[in-house]
Amino acid sequence: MPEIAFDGSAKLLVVLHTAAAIVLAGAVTHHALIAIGYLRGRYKIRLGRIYAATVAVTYSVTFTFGLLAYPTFRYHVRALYFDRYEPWASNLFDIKENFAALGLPFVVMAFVLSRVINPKEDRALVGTYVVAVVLTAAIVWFNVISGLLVTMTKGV
Amino acid sequence: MRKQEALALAMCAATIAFAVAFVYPMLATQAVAWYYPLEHRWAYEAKPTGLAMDFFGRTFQAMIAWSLVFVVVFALARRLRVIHSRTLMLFTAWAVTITLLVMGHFAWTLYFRIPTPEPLPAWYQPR
Repeated sequence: MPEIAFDGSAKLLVVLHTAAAIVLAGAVTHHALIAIGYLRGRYKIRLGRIYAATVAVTYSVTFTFGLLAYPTFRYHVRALYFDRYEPWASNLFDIKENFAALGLPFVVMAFVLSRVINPKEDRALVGTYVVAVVLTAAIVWFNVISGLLVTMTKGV
Repeated sequence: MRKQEALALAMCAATIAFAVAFVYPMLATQAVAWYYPLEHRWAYEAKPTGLAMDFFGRTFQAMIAWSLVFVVVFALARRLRVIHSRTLMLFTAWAVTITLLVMGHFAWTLYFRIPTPEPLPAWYQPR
């Protein structure tokens, strides 16, 4: 059997990836509700900053654990199984990973803006902030559901 | 321009650069760093010669593009006196639109992809 980077710890990495994603899904949902509240005149600024920081940390952690487990997945799961028996899962996984990368700039944007804007005064910036938060939440939820479907089909 | 406005403008421009740099190797013949997990090696090339992954290389390239554009636009934006709120919203709309277009490209092309499976090795036993 070929040796692949982090092959021996791939299951642990996916468990940690999932644990971080659970925290991320909760934080990003709360963050989105608080950000939408800014548009309706409800300003929970301190809580918004806490959730923005939580999302930035958990998104990075989830992404990093996913990257570390990816080589094992790419060969043992995708190349040897999914591509032959479940091509839809291969394709869904690749859509999910590309979406996750495209979410990175919005995570940074939401975190930075949460620290520097005053939503009561910076009305133009609130729009940018809300868009970044809501798009991040949409990507996270798509990826959580896709990840569940893929690992239910076959895990590392 | 105030610092928070310059930051927002620079991050919107950097987001556009990230999305374009991330998808560009898929659209054009551009070399990118590929990782060969079975051979434990990296190669900078346009087309892989075996089982290889370009995700790391494309993500790294997009991060570099994000960083460069952010630094340049932030420095330029700080020199401007004012920015109209409509301009800021326009940049936000461009960043979101381009990201959604790139996401749509991946969803569309990958949904219809027919992957080519690797030959099964002698030791392989499906669990």
